[in-house]
Amino acid sequence: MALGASTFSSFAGAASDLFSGITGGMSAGIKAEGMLAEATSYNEAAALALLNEQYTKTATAVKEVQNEREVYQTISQQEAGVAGGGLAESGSALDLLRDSASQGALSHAIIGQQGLITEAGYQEQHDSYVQMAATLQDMAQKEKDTGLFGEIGSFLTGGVKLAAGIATLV
Amino acid sequence: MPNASYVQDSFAGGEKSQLAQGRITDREYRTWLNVCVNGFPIEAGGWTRRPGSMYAGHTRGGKVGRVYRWDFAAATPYTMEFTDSFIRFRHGTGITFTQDGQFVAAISTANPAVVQTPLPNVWATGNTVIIAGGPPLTQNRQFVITVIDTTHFSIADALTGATIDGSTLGALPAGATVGRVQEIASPYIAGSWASLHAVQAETNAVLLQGALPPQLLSVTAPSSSISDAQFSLAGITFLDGPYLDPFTNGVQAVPSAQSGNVTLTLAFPQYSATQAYQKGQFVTSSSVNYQSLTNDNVGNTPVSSPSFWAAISAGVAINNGKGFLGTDVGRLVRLFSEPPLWVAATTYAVGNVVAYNPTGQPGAATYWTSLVGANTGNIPGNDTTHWTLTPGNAANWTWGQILSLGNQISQTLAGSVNIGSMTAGGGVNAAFDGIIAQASASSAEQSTSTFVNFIPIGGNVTQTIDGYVGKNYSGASAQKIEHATAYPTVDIGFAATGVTFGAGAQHQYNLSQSITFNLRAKATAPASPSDGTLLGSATTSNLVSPISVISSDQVTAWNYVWIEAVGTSIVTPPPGLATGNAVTITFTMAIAEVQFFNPPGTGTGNAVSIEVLGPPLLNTAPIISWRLGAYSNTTGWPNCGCYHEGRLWLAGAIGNRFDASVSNGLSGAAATLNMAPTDQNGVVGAANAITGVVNSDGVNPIFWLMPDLQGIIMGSQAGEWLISGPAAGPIAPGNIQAPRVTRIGCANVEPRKTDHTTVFVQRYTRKVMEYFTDVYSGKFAAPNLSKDTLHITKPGVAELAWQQAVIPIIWMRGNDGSLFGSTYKRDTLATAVGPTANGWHRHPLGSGRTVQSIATGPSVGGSLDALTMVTLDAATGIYHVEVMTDAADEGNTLIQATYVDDAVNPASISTSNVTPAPYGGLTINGLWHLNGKTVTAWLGGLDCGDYAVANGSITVPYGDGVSAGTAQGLFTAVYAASLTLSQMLVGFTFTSQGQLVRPALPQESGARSGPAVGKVRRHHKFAVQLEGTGIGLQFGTRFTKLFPALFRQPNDVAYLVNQQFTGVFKTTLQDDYSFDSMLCWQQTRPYPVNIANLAGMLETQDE
Repeated sequence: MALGASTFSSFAGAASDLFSGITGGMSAGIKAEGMLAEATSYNEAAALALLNEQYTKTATAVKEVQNEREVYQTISQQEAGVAGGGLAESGSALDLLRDSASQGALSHAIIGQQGLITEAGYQEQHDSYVQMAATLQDMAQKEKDTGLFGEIGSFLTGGVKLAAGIATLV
Repeated sequence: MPNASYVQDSFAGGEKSQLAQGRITDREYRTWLNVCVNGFPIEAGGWTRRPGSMYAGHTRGGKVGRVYRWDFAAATPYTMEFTDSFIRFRHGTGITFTQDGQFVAAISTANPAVVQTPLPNVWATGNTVIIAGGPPLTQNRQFVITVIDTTHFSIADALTGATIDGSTLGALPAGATVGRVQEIASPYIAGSWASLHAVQAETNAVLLQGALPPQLLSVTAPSSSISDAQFSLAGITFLDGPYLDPFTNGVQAVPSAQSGNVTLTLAFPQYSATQAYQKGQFVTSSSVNYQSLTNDNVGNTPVSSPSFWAAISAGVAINNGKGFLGTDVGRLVRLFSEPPLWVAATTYAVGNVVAYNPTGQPGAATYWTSLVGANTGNIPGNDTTHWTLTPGNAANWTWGQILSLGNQISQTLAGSVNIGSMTAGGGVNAAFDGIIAQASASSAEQSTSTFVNFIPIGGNVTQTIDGYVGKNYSGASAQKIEHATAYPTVDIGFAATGVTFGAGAQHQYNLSQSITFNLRAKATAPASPSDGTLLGSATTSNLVSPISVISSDQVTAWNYVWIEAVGTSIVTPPPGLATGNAVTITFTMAIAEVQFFNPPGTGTGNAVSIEVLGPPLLNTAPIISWRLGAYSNTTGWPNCGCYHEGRLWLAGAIGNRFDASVSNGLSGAAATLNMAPTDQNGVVGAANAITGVVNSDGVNPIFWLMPDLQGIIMGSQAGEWLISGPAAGPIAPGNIQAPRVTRIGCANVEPRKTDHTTVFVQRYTRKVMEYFTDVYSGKFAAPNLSKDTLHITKPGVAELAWQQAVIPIIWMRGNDGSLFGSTYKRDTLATAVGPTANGWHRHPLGSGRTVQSIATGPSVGGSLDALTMVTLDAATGIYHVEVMTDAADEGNTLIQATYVDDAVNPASISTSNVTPAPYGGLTINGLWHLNGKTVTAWLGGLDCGDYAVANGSITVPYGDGVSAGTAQGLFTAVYAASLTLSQMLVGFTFTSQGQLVRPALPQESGARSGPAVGKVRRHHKFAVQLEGTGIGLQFGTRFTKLFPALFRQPNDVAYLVNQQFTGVFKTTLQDDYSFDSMLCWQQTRPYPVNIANLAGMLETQDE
């Protein structure tokens, strides 16, 4: 075979495929690394969300205790005020105490519900981050896999093309 | 010759007791008096006679009554007159009329006389009228009318009921008019008005009496120049309160519906083996109600644990163990409608709402809506998936009024028959006709009469009636009885005693009644009222309130059940009855309605029907938080109160407790009183009603509430409390305190507000305390105004009245009908400083009448304060209303003098130059109320002597105009013709007396070796500085030996009877040596006496 256009074409293709195989493999690795790094961040965020949930749980419990304390103090102060004012715990005093107890119970319930909602939010955030990290890790793996097989393929096609170019010279 | 002189230049100390007079070194000693009768010190220090009193008409029918001040407008003050079933009004001495007066067209000569009016009127039989300008025999009299048609009515004397014989009246003068006395029908019967208190709130007066619901007296038409103010009376409707505290013993109310008329059934929580019960708590176990007998009662199954649980009737949980009573009808109920409590074992569907209250604290429930179906065991609030907080309106308060009791045995139970002996009036059936409010004539009634002559009998006459009304249930089915309720009639209550007169004097008597109600039952028909088994008993002298009798046997079923009423009437003749008096005494006992009630058990009998008046209930779940009304026929009604910061404050029904309405909660137009303690969500706002129970070491009824600068002073037997707001701003449910500020203790006598202090009667009624905040310590203090006058308050102080102008006087009525007072003024609010004036004086009336009620009201002219009194003639038993005239001013003439009691200006006069001989005389008419009495004629400033009144008239002979005849001849026909009727007074003269305390200090007695105590002394002379004083004044050193002060002109001419002396009068005095030698003076005729100072010149023998 004489040196012809197809020879050059084959050599060029071989070179291209070989180089592309080399650079493609490198690129997929880098991408996978990035994804893994991002997944790590999501994992860290998920852990933080979990911490937030735990913190909220604790904070809610503390707030509930504080609320109970405040309610108790309020009611206690009212009771002391009633007695100190020379009045028995009867009539309007009972109405006021009942009103305060009602307000206290309601605020207690609201604090609890708010806490639960916030906790649920953090849990959801945590779950979301964990999910996203898992996805990224999965994707990174896939990317890595994709880069390796592409490199092999490019080497293979480059080799074929190189053989084809040599064959045109024989 | 005297060797010392002294002067008393002030009489402000007033009369002092003998024990007080020993303090001869007291710096006020020389202002004291040993005697001060029918005269009083004035602020300036001088002494003046008490003015006389004007007759303001007798009470309605001359019956026992009382007066009460009501100045709804400062310019038009009125005085209310309360008698059984009626309220009347006066402005000054003038009784008020309805605005439909008429001219008198004619009065017939028939018996009874028939009055004709030119225009039709709407008057009714039984109305009281007064004829003005009519024939003399009709003048100054009140008549009760019997309507014939719209223009004719016959008349009868309002006191005796005797018809008026028209043939005796004579010709009808032209221009005569007839007015109808304004008489408001009231529920205050059987003397219940005696303990009534009135609270003035703008143009309304709230009338409070512990046995009856409060009433609102309103001005429906203000007074004008030609007509009197018009009034109306209506029962006050309480809106949403006040209430007792919510039940905490576990009793629940189960409603049958959410609105309208709802049946409320009592129920208890189901017994739980894991719950700890406290003593007194209620449960239901196996459909049986139980009450815990011990504390910390856990795991003891009620049916098998008799030492821990007692089976009870549901009613035990309320009304102090008595259950619902017939007297609870009309009582308010407040209900907290909320979803049922969350139960772990219950499966909830989507949308189900529950109450969750893990603490069990009242009000601490939160409300949750199920988000999922098949929601079991998920604690509300523990997650966000099963339950969510229910926004708004998950629970609310509402209120209603009890209409009837579920356990009442039907009045018309098929097969039952009414039985009884009270067959008069409406008969036995009337007691079961379902009509609670009816008059005695329409009620079951029984009466007895007796004819007595009091002089042969002497003492009291006691009558007893034993009657009964009841049911024969044998034709229906035998009935178990829990209790019975009897209702009084609207006109006489449960009983009344009437006295009708035979020939001779007509007297009225002290009457008292009491009734014992016995609940009885038997298997067979009763042979007498007292037959059968006695199930319960209640005795009362309160004849105006419904009464319930609880049965001690609620197990046995009876065929015959009845109420036995044993009435006792005691008639006491007037203490002054001097002649035989034949009377017929009729004692009547009446019951308007009787209701019998089954034991409530555990079923629907354990219920009441209520009318829901607030928002509808949210559901029909058992109501855990609910409250019963504080005021009812079961618990009583408030009997004292005040109006302060736009709230009506009430107290007295329940010991230590007070209630205040919502701010501006009194509606006069609707006669309602808003007492809502919270809004419907339970929020307590600053304007909401207030209920307070003061902490005390005892439970005592509150007698009075008096607004003060610092708040409200509240008086009870145990002490005095101050209700105030501890923080800035008005008193509110959240801004209130009521500490006890002093422990003086109060009597049940209304206090009076003076210029700077409150005056009240101490609990034992002997002490009168002035009450104020010490300007230095800021603490309340209560100096005793009567510490030096306990001899005056010995009978006990029954009533107080404060007269501000012209002379500030605390008037007091003694329990024995005496009248006394203190010229009182305090300028310095410091405990260390005594009052500026506190001079006591006594006032026996010239008429001999005793005082039954006092109030300060408008004076005769209506421009000043004056004492208004209800007085009693012990001999006739007829009650008059009298108004004290104004105290003398400097410069007053004799014509202006009014020193006669129970006096009137003539309604008309007629003159004769012939009769009586020799100079003729003046006939004065309109004295009907003085018939048979000997009275004094004070005509144009002349003392014209004493005359016996006959047929409402007296005739005063004329004098000769020189010296012979009436008033030293000065009362002549010419003089009489110059007088107006208002310048003539006829009434009872009275005696005024004053006496200084002993001159005892060396400087005033002349004793040279120490005080004059125990050293004989004798007055030789005296000098007195007088102003506008008339003749007849006497002086001496003891009242049994007095000498007239003969005033003389500078030219030594004696003063005439129509002249007044002003200046210094000095003369010698006949006196004997004694340890006392106290200068005294006396005036017995209607002349003025005004003393500026009195000086004595005496000799004391040292030893």
